[in-house]
This record gives sequence, structure tokens and C-alpha cells, in this order.
Amino acid sequence: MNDPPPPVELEVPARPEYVRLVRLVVGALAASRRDLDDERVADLRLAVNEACTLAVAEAPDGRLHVACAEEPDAFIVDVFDGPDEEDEDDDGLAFALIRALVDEVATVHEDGATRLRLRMRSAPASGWG
Amino acid sequence: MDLRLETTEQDGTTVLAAHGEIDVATAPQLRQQIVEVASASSAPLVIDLEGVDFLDSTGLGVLVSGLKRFRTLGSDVLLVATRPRILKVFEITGLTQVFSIHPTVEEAVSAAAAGNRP
Repeated sequence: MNDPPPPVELEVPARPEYVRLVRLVVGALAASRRDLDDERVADLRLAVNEACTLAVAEAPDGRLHVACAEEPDAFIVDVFDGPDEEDEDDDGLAFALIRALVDEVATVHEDGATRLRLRMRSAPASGWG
Repeated sequence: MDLRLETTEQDGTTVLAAHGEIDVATAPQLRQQIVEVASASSAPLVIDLEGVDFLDSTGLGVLVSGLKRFRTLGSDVLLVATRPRILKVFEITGLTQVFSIHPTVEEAVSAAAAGNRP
């Protein structure tokens, strides 16, 4: 059994015009590494878009930070310093989409950072797990 | 990809056709165009989403605020959409219950004219 492919991190200016870049890169990465059909990749792309849009609105230090990691049964996307689910009254449409589109969503507080973690269940495309 | 917006008149109804992607970067263009149409005329507005490849919650928010604006004027906003990716966003958010969504511009224009009849 091989090791999983290495995590991929993206950091871009926390501005609206960069959200498209992040959703496209994350979608392409998931499509290449996981056994996901086009519909599920499109779902993930939209969920990532929503989380990044909320993070850009908060823009704590002017950077948008997203990390993609892999588990044997899921593709994981963490969007840092973004929305907390407790604030969802303000972000109802975005959270409705995120919850419907990915398999799990959680707010993770760890090492002084907050992340919105999106989890898309899927098998690895090949080679490990 | 940018968002391209094109406005035409059809049987007394304004038709706003959108092409491209509607997200946090491009939604302000759509908002501005809806506001301009609303200030020029209180005729119903048909927004054609058949050329839209991507629509997110920011875009939905703009459409909902446009709908409120037109209904305040005693008018309406009707949508044209058949693409599954676009309809899915309306279905998840329950907005299929809020908007009148039609398969073609012609049907939306007829529905707008019928709804507008005294």
C-alpha cells in the first residue's frame, strides 16, 4: 500500500476575483485524485466557492488560505479563518448549499486557527488506500 | 471567465440574458444591471440564465433582491433556466418556490404578459 498523495495548500489574496481560481484548482485536484463523477466534482467546486466567498468577506489578514488533504475514504478541503457555523444566520444560503453539496461540514478549532472543513466521501483514483 | 449581460425588449418585457459565471466577483455587475432596468421601466423583467455556467449564493442573493425590487414596483422578475447545475442551486435553497422559472424565453415572456394583464 502506497502513501497518500501529499496535501496541497493554496494561499491567494482574499479578494472576490481569486475565488474562481481556488474553486477551479480544488475541483481539478479532486477530479484527478479521487474517483468522483463530474456532478460530484461540480458539487465540491460550488461548496468550496461558498466557503471561500464567506472567508473573503471576513478577510482577517487579507489572504485566503485553503488546504486539501486526502484520507482513504474522503477528500478533505479546509478553508481557514472563514465563517463559523454559529454565524450562519447571516450566511443562510451559503450554508444551505455547503451542507447539501458535501458529505460533511464541520468547524474545526485547532492550534489557534479556525477552519471550515468540507469532506467529500470518495475512493482514491488509484494507487493507495 | 467574465459575466456578459445583454438586454433586449420582447413584447413589452425586458429580457436580460446572462452569459458566463455569476459569483462574488461578477454578481455586482448583475445587480447594477437589474437596478438600471428597474429604474428605466416597471415592465416585468425576464432573466435568461441559459448561458450561465456557474451560479452561487451571491448570485442568488442578487436575483432575490432584484425580485423584491420589482415586486415593490408592482412588477415581477421571471427566470429562464433548464440547465441541471443551475436548477439544482434553486432547488437546494428552496428558491424554486419563490421564482417563476420557465424553460424558454418565449414562455417566460408570455407568462410575464399574462401576469401583467389588468
